[in-house]
Amino acid sequence: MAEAMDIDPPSSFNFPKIQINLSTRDTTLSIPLQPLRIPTNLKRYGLSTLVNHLLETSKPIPFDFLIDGKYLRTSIDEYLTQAGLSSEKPLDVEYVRSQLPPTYIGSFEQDDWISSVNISSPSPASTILTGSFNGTAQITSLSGEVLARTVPMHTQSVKSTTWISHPGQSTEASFLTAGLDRTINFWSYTPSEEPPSSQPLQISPTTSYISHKSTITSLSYSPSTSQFISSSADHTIALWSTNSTLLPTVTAPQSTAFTRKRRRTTTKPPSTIKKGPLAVITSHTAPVSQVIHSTDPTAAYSVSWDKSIITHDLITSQPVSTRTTQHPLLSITTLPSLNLLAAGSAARHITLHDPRESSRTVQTAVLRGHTNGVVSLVKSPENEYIFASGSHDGSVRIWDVRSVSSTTDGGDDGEGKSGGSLFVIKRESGSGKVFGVDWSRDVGLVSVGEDKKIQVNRGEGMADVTVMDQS
Amino acid sequence: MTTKATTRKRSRAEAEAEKPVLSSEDEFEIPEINGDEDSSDDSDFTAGDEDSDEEEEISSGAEDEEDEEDIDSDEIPSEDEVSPKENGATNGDASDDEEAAPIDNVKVVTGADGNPRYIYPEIEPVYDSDDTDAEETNTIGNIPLEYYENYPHVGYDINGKRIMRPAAGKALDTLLDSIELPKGWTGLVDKNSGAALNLTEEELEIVKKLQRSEITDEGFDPYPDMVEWFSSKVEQMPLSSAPEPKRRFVPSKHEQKRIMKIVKGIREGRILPHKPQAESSQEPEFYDIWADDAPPKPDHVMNIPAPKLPPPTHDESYNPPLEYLPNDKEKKEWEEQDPEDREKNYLPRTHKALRLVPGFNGFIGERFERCLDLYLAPRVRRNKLNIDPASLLPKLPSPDDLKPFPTTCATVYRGHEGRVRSVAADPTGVWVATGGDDGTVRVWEILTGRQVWKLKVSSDEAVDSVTWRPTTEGRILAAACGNEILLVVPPIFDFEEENQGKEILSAGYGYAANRQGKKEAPGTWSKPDAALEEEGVVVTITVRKTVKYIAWHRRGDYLVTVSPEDVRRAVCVHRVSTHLSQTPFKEKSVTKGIPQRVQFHPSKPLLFVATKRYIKIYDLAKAELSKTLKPGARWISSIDIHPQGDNLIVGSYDKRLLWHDLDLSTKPYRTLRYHDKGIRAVSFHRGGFPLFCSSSDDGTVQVFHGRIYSDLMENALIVPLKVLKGHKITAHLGVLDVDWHPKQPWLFSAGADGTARLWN
Repeated sequence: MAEAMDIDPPSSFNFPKIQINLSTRDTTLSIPLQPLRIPTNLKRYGLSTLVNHLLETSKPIPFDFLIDGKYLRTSIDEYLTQAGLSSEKPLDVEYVRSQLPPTYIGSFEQDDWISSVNISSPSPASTILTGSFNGTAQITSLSGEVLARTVPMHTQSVKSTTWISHPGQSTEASFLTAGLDRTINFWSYTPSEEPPSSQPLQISPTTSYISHKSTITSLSYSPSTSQFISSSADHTIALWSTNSTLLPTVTAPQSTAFTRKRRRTTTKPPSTIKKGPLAVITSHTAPVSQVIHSTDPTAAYSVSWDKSIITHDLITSQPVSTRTTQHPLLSITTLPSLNLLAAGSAARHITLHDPRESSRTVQTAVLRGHTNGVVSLVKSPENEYIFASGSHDGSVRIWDVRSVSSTTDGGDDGEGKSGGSLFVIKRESGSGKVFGVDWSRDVGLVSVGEDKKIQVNRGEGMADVTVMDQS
Repeated sequence: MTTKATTRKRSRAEAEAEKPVLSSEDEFEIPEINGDEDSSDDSDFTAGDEDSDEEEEISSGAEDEEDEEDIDSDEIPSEDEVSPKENGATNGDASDDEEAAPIDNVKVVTGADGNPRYIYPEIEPVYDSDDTDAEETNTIGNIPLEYYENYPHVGYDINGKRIMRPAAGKALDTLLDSIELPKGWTGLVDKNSGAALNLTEEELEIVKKLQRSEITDEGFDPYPDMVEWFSSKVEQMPLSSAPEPKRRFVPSKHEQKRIMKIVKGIREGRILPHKPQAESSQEPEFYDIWADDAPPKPDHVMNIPAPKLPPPTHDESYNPPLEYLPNDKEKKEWEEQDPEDREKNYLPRTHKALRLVPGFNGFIGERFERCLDLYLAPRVRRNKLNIDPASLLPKLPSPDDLKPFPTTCATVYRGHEGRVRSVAADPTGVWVATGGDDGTVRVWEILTGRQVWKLKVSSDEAVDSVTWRPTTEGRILAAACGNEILLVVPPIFDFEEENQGKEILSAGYGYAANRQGKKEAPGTWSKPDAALEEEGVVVTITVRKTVKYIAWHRRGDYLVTVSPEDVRRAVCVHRVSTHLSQTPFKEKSVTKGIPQRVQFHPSKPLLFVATKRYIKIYDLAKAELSKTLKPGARWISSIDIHPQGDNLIVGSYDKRLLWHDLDLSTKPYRTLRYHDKGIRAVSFHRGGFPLFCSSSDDGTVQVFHGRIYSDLMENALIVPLKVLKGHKITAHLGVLDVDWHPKQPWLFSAGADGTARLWN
C-alpha cells in the first residue's frame, strides 16, 4: 500500500479520503474484496494504476470505472459533487477493461452506395464483403483492393449479404446476396492464392432462391445447420438450406410485358438453378426488417415494422414468443452471454430485451443517442458487454450494456434504465447514412453507407489487451 | 222681491262682517251655496217662476244684483260717483271698492260667476311715531308753486336769496333744436376722404339694433307667436291620426310585476303587511362612546369597516427602551423636518412614571387626520375575480402523451431538379413516389432514400400530381403531367403484382374499341408510345387542359381529375375498367367557381368538390348536390376527408386550416391559424393514427392530433403537436404536398427546394 500511496500526488493530502469497494464482473481480473481509502481527487488514470498495482500485472491494463452505471470521466470529488453524495459513505466502484476509442484507420471508396458489410474470419487474411446499391457485391481486401465482384445478376440494389463459407476455411468461399429484386443468389468462388491482379475476379451465381414478393431486407446463416433465413418487406421470413437438394425447384415468375430495355441493358444473366424455400413464416404484419439466428441454431429472432420481436422455432416454423415494443424496429443483435437482445428502432434508440420466457418486462433498458433510425447492430468481438450500432444519422456508436443507470429523465418508454453511448464514430466523409456495420477483432469496426465508403475504425492498443487475455 | 232679497243679503253680509274668521278660500264657495238657497227662496216667493231652470234663475239673480247696485248708489249719494260705475265695468277692483265704501265697511260687486261678491276694506295701519327720518328736500316751504308761475324763481332760501327754478326740458330742447345739424350727422370723419361721415337712417337703425344686441336683419321677429301644435284642445283634424296606443288602456305589466313581487313576498312571509311598529323607537338610543369597538353593524355590501390602527409599538411607551429614544442628532433632524415629511408625529420620550406623562398636544390634529383619512379615502369592496389564467386554457393533453407522431427528418429524397410537386406513399408502405417540375416521376425506397425508379414523362411540363391506386392488388401509379394522366405500373414490384396491374389497366381497351362512334368524350384513352410503355406506362388519358390533381376512388376503378383551367369540364371522372371518361357536371353553372380539389368519400358514394370558396358535396347515387360547406376561406388550396368520412380538413391560401365536422354545420368546427403563409396541402393519416398535418409556403409542416370519438356527443379533439422545419423556401414556395405513410406515423413532404422528406 505504501507504493499505492506513491501514486498519489502530493497535493492529495489536502483532499478528503473516501472508502471505495472495487469489484468487477470479469472473473480473470477479480481482486479480493477489500475496502480501500483513496483521496477523492483521483481520476480514472489514478484508479487504473491502483487496480493494476493490486492485480500485480506485468503490463498495465487500462481500466475504466463505473459508478452507478456511469463511466467515471471526472475526478471522484467532482463526481460526488455532481451526484450529491457524501464522501463519508463507501462508494461501490466497478472496474472494467477500458474500451479504447476507435480511431479512424482508413476508408475504401466504391462507385455506389453500400448497403451491407460482412468481414470474413481472419485466416489467412480478412476480406470484406460488401453489397452495393448498384446490384453487385464486392470482396475487398484490407489493403483496399477489390478481390472479386459479382456479375450483375441482381437487377436492383443488393440489400443484404452474408458469408456461407469464409475464404480460408476451405478452398472455395461462398456467400449469399439478396436485395430489392426479391431473389437471393448463392455465389461461390475460389480465392486466388497469388497476389491480386488488377482485374477483379468476376463471380457468377450458382443458385437463385425465389420466394419473396418484395425487398429482401436481411439474411442470416447458421453454419451448424447449413440453413439460412431471409426476411422481406412482404412481411414474410423464409427458411432455406444451402443443400439445394432439400429445396424444391421453382420457376421464376416472368413479367408478361418483356421490355426491350431489360434485354438491352446487360449481357444475359447466367442461368441459375431456381429454388424455393423450406418454409415461409408469416408471423409479422409489416415489413420484416431483420432476422438473426439465435445461439441455438434452431431458433431465430426477427424484428419488424409492426414493432414486435418474434422468437421463431425454425424446426416447426412457428413463433415461440412475441414481444411488442412501442416503435417500428429496424435491426437486432444478440448478446448471448448476457441473455440479451438489442433492437434498434426507427424512433432513434436501441432497446435491450431479455428474450427468455421468464423475464417479465418487455424491455430492460433504452439506449439513447442516435438521431435517426438504427439500422445495423453488431456485438463486439472482444467484450460481451459492448456492441456497436450504425444509424441513418450518419454515425456509428459504441455502447456498453453495463453503463445504464436507472435515471428517470426522459424515460417515457424505457422501463427503468437508460444509457448513453461510449463512443461516437462519425463518417470521415462528413455526412451520409450508415447502412451497415461489422466488427471483427483483427479488422476493427467497419461501417458502410451512403457516402459509398467502407470506413474502418479500430481501437488503438486493442492488440495489447488481446495479448493480456491470452496470457 | 228684489228688495227683500237685498235686505236679506245685506243682513247676512253684516253678520259675516261681524265674524271675519272665514278664510279667503271660503269666499267663493259661499255665494254658490247661497245662490242655491236663493233660488229655493225665490221659488218659495215666486210661484210663477217655477218652470224656469236653474241657469235662468242665476242670470236673473245677476240682473237683480245690477239692479241692486243702482239702488245702492242711489241710496247713498254721498259716495264717490265714479266708483260704482267702475265697479260694474272692472268687475272687482278691490282697492277702489274698499275706498268707495268706507262707511259700510263692505262692498258688493258682481263676481266672475255673476254672483255678488263682498269686498272688505283693507285695514289701514296707523303709525303713531313721527316721521323724522323722512328727508326734507323742499326748502321753499309749504307754498304752492303756482304762486311763482310768472317768476323765474320758486322761492327764497334761508338767507333771503332767490331759489331759481330748475331748467326745464323745454328750454334745453329749444336750445338743441336751434342748432342745425345735417341729416345723419355723426361727428366722425371719414378716414379715407376726410369728409364728414354721415350715416343713413338704415345704417343708424342697424347701429341701434347692434347696441341692443338684436339681430339687424330687417323684418326678423325674435318673438314670433307660438303655434301651439300640442295643446289640450281636441282638434277637428289632429296632427297624427294614430289610434290611441294600447298602453293607455291596457293595465301596466310593470306595475303588475311589482305588485306580484310584493304579493309573492307576502306569501312567502318576507313582507308582513300589518307589521306592528317597533317599540324601540319610543326609547331614546344611547351610544356607548367608551366602547372599544363600534357596535357591529349588520352585514351589508356597502358596509366596509374602517381599517384598524396599528397597535402602539415600543417607542410609544411612556418609558421606552433606550434604543428607541432618539439621540440629539435624530431629535434635531426630526425637528428640522417638515411636519408632513415626518415618519412619526411624535418623538419617543421617557417618563419616570405613567402619571407624569403629559397630555398629547397633537391629539385633536391626529384624530382629525384620521377622520380625514377615513372620509377621503375611497373604500370600495372590489369583487376581483381571482382566476388562474392557466385554467382558462382548454385542457389539452400533453403532446408527450399523444406519441407517436413525426418529430424529425429521417430521410431526404434528393434527385429532383426543380420543385417536387407531389408525393405519395404506396399502399404497401415500402415505396414513395414523387412528381416534380422536371417532368419526372420517381419512386424511392422509404428509409434509405434511394431512388429505385424514374420516369421522364415530359421535358417541359411539370408532374403536378402523383397518387397510388389505394388497393392492395395491382400497384398502379397515376401521374398527371400537363393535360395527360399516366397510369403506370412501376417495374419495382413482384412480377405477379406487376402483371396484375397491367391486366387491370389493359382490360378497358376492348371497351374503348367498341365506343368509337360516340361523340367527343372529355378524356381520350390511348396507348403510350413505345418508350414510355417500356418504362411501365400502360395507359395515358388525355384531357383538354392541364390536370392539377388526381384522386382515386377507394375501390380503384374510378379516378377523378381536376383541371381548373378548363371552364366547362374542370372535373372529369375516369373509369379504369372501361377506359371511359365523363364529366359529372354538364354545365359550368353546376359547380360555379373554379374547382380546386376533388375527393371521393371514403365509404359513401359522395364526391367532394372544393371550389375557391366552397366545398360542394355531390351525391353520386342520386346525382344531386347534397350539401355545401362554407369554410369561410378566401381560396381553398386543399381538402382531405377523414378516413371515417365524417370530418374534413380544409387548407386555404389565407393561412387557415379548417376542420369541418360534417354532422355539425356548414361552418368550420375549428379554425387553426398557425401557419405564416398560405397552406398548400393537408392530409389525414389513414392507417389508424389520429394524426393530420398541413404544409405551407412558410416551409413548415405542422402535425396535429385529431381524434374523433365514436360517441356522437363528443366533438373532435384537436391538439397541435409539432412543427416540422427543414424545407427551404424557394421563390416563396415552401412545402407543396404532404402524404402519410399508410401504416406508420411517418410523414412525407414534397418541397419547392427540390427535395422530398420523410419525417418520423
